[in-house]
Amino acid sequence: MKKVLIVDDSATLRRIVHEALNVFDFEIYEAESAALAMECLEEGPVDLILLDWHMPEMDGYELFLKLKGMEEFKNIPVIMLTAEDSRESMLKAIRSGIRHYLTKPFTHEDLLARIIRVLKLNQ
Amino acid sequence: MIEPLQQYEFEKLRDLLASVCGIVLKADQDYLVETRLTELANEIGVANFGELHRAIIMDESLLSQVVDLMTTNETLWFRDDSCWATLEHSILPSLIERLHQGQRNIRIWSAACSTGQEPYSLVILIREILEKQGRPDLLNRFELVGTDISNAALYLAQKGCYDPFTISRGMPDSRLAKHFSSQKKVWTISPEIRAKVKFQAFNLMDSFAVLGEFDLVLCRNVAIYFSEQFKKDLFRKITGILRPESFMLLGATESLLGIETDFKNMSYGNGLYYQIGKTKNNQ
Ligand SMILES: C[S@@+](CC[C@H](N)C(=O)[O-])C[C@H]1O[C@@H](n2cnc3c(N)ncnc32)[C@H](O)[C@@H]1O
Repeated sequence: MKKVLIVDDSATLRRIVHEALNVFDFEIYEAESAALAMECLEEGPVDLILLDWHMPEMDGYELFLKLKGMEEFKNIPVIMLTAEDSRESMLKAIRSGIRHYLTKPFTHEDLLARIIRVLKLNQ
Repeated sequence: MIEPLQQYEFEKLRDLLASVCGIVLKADQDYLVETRLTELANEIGVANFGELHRAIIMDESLLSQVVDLMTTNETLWFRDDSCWATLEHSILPSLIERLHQGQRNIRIWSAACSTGQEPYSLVILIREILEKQGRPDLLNRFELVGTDISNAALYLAQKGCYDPFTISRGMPDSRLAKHFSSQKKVWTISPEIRAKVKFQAFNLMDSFAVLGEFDLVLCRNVAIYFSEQFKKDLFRKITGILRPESFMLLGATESLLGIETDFKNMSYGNGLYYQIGKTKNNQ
């Protein structure tokens, strides 16, 4: 069973995304901050991270860079789900290895289609 | 990791998308190309977007993935009231009449069905109309085909499972209760409805010869991406696979205005639809 971690400081957003992921047979974890995401990952790696950008204390992009520097986590694919929609931020994220970038409000059709791609669920 | 997109590479990719898929990108949409296609480029292992351009020319399956990534899969249940009123009160009754007149079957094509909401909404509506007429058995004589270029969207369509937010976009409670079952807040369409739609991957740029003939084609919210020339070709190809006096529906914001076709403009209330004549002129 694939493991997916949702990192977002908004409980509502986490719930909506969690419910969307329930259409797949995933083991789903939630973290409301970068620090809690790190704690969750220390229990064991996941197959995919859905990551918000703007969060208090460490932001999502910093968390991504930190994970990229860690041998055991550097290959975990990350999809960014964020209200941050400037072209500079999108390019910065994609150029540093974020797999996909969806700006809020995103449609669930597009979110789930990207997840299917990244996890190769249809192959 | 692929190198950042250069201006000349963007222009090459933009020209390719325009000439091969009719997709029109604006000059300031270079970041869209880079943000949407980097993952694909890294997966196939090209070093820069110039190489991606060459790879797409060599391999048609890549082109489908590019089109998929550059377009949105957004869809809704019973999208646009006027369209569904037209179907309910005008188009579907006249198709059912064809069965009474002895036509063997009614074939309907949802030409860019995304994650399935459009063809499943149709099956629900057809079933309701037939039940009201006391002829639920006639559903057997309807054949529905749902196609899309996106393999991921089709995977979801075939699964037929939807989350509460997706359901809330257009599915009324009464129909939800009647045609879905739920577990852990996931709504699954009933097996009979799912079995009515045959899904297959299909690029609207390809020849339609493999699809057979239809009484109704829904080509909704997909031609918005295409250039005028591609739209013209698309509607000519649709004319070619329609049975005499058959129908086409577009999205609520779309029309055939300014495009030369064999269709007659029809309307029901606020809804526009298109019908071809007894004989087709232009093929
Ligand atoms: C915005 S959705 C529309 C879905 C549905 N028809 C509706 O109106 O709600 C557009 C769909 O067209 C598909 N598409 C885009 N270009 C295509 C092409 N060349 N051939 C087939 N499908 C295509 C996309 O994958 C997407 O699922």
